[in-house]
Amino acid sequence: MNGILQGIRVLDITVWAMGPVASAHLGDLGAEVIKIEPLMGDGARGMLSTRSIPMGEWNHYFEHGNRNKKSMAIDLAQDKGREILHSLVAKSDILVTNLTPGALRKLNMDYETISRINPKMIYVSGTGYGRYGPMRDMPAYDFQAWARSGLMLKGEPGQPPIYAGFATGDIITALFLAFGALIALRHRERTGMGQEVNASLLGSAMQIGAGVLQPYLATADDYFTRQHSRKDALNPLCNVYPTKDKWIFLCMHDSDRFWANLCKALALEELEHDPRFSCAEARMRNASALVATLDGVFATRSAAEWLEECNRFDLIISPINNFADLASDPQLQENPYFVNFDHPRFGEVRVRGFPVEFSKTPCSIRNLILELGQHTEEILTEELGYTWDQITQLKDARVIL
Amino acid sequence: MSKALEEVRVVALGTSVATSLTTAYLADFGAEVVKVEMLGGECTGGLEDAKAGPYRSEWNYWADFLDRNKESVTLDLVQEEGKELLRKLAEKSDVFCTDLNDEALEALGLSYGLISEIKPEIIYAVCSCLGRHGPDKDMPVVDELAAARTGVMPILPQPEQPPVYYGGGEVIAALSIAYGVVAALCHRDRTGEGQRVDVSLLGANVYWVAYLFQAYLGTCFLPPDSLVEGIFSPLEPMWRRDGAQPLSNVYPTNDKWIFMGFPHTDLYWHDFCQTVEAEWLEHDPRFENHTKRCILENRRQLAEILDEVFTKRSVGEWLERWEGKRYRIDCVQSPKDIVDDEQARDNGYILDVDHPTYGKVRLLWNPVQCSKTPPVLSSLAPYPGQHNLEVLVDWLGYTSDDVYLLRKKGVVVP
Repeated sequence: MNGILQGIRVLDITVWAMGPVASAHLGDLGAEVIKIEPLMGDGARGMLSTRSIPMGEWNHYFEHGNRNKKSMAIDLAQDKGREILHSLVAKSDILVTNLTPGALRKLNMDYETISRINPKMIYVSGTGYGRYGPMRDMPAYDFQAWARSGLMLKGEPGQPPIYAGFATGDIITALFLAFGALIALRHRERTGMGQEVNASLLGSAMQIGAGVLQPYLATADDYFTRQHSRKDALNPLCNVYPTKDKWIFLCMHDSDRFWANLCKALALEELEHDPRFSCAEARMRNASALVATLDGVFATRSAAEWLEECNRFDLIISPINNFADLASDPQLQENPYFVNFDHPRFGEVRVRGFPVEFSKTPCSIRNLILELGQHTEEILTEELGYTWDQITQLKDARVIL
Repeated sequence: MSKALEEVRVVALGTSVATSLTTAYLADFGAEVVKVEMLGGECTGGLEDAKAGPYRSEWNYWADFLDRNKESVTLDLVQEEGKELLRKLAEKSDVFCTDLNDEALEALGLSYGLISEIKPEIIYAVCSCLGRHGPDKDMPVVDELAAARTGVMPILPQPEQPPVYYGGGEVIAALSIAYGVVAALCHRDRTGEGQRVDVSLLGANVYWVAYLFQAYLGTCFLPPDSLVEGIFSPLEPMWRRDGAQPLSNVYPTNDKWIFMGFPHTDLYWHDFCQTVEAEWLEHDPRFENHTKRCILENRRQLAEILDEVFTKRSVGEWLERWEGKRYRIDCVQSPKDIVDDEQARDNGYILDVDHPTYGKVRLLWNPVQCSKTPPVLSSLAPYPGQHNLEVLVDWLGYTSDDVYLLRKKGVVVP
């Protein structure tokens, strides 16, 4: 089955996570993605651990970020290397990069240069802090942009700021970039015009933080600039509670609708009409008293028992799972967010899949392994008409591997 | 500036933030989005919170954030004629976007099976809580539910702390739907073929932590003694000072926290020790190079020392000392800092808007920048039913007399 982007060629000049995943999305949709790496390869090939979890033999970090791609190893610092790239630019549709604008300019790979060679090119650039401003040329780890964005003040008061997790900022920005690429592609198919698309770690983080940032922009209330304890949750019916074993999450935003039933499920009928708790506004004012009461009750039984009881009363509640639970969750088995793949080296593995399911043109993983420079010769000869003599010269001069 | 989605017509039928925001994203790029408000329908879940306590504001900012650039049609879906009107609008749309479950859609005669028979080119986008398939496919569309299943909540905080709900799943779901819809539009442009696009809050949350979960899945390929319990387990929260790389971590100063992250730590180690006035660290045999610094016991000790060192000064003083360096620290800011941040301002991540009622207001804006087809704010949120006449005339060829009659019957309001 042909993918949506069959026939589209993407040049990928990316490293680590944000850039590679952006172009991997396009590859998942069926585009041909050519990853241009320095002769030493993308640094991600040497990744040793994720959040202190050792990588081991299988560099899944590099592989799931670079699936469905081809690789060319080219020294872009040399004229002959840039020549190859510029020839490819003339024959490509989209360029995705997360090198800094300064580095790109030095390599003659800025948008001005590229669009002169190919005005139809869609140039997708992912940066740390945005296309404009004094920090436009600064590289960034995603947690740095995240720190700046105002989002890390989570958890109980006094606790260290919380980063959403390894490469979370990168992977979200990657999806914004892929979205922008598709917007530009559609526009180009209708008008013939290329353009430059930008997204940044900072902009993406701020968007994720809409739930805090937009209210703050409207109210300037100090509340949004501080950490808050679960013991003071504004809506105690939308809060985490410890049970005898696992924690559970009560997820009822519209608390008035569920209050009476919650009281029944917890055998706290006397609370139902208690003026301290009888409506959402009251519960907010007396939150600590209510959370303390609920803490006391939930501690008496296991999560499974509470789930059963609460389900009888149509309450919205969930156990708080860990990754082992997720791995065996039927919702994960039955939907394509993580998929099984027959890995040539490791046998059956489970690997990052797709956030979107298409009924007619499903995404696919066609290859996971990508050797450095695996396709250099193939592309030079078949696409760009280089001779074997020329290729030998390029190798001797260390322009290619 | 042109608009990338100019002739695309979208019908949005749902109550979740994901449905609202994704159709706002499409509208930002020029699509004509009709938000169908259901009379007597369910209230919009989380927005209930928005009217209370610190969220309270005269300005209905959620409406303007979620429903900018849209048109509004209010239909009484209890009346048969209301349902029929909705179906007609859906049939005239290019994209139908919803978070209602199968049962509700069937009851409205709006299942994908039915609609795609009448209009095979339609792009039918559905947002569910936990996925299109599986035993729990019909759970209510609530992000906390999906987050609880995602598995990351217990490991976000320090050990012995309550699990943390980060929030943001709905934004990621909104982005995923918009991405899926535009991809499906590209396909339809080439082939004439429409299709169904499914996204879920679980998918969005799992996408977010994919690298972490992937690392967990990868542990089955590690030799058994590599996972030291309590320290490396991806199922347990980790102490901050146990972080793999002590020079990539959060540290307290005497006012705010900082996040430090350096590449090439050996390259900058000398300068770092000078800058933090802890020159004695440089040749300490526990810390003198990257490999030694990463040994578990050494990195714990180094982190403890750095905690003390950094707390000697304020973040402002540290940032001053760090001026011009090639390895950096960032202040862990609060929303108060970011809303007036230069980068946010220069990149238009926050828009200054003239509200007709409330004067100068600020809106968090679409972060995707495009040189030829940027996202544009053309209008703030419509009031419910504001475009009843316009849309029925434009899309369905009704006359104003027709609409008058429908209003009399309460099928459209007003």
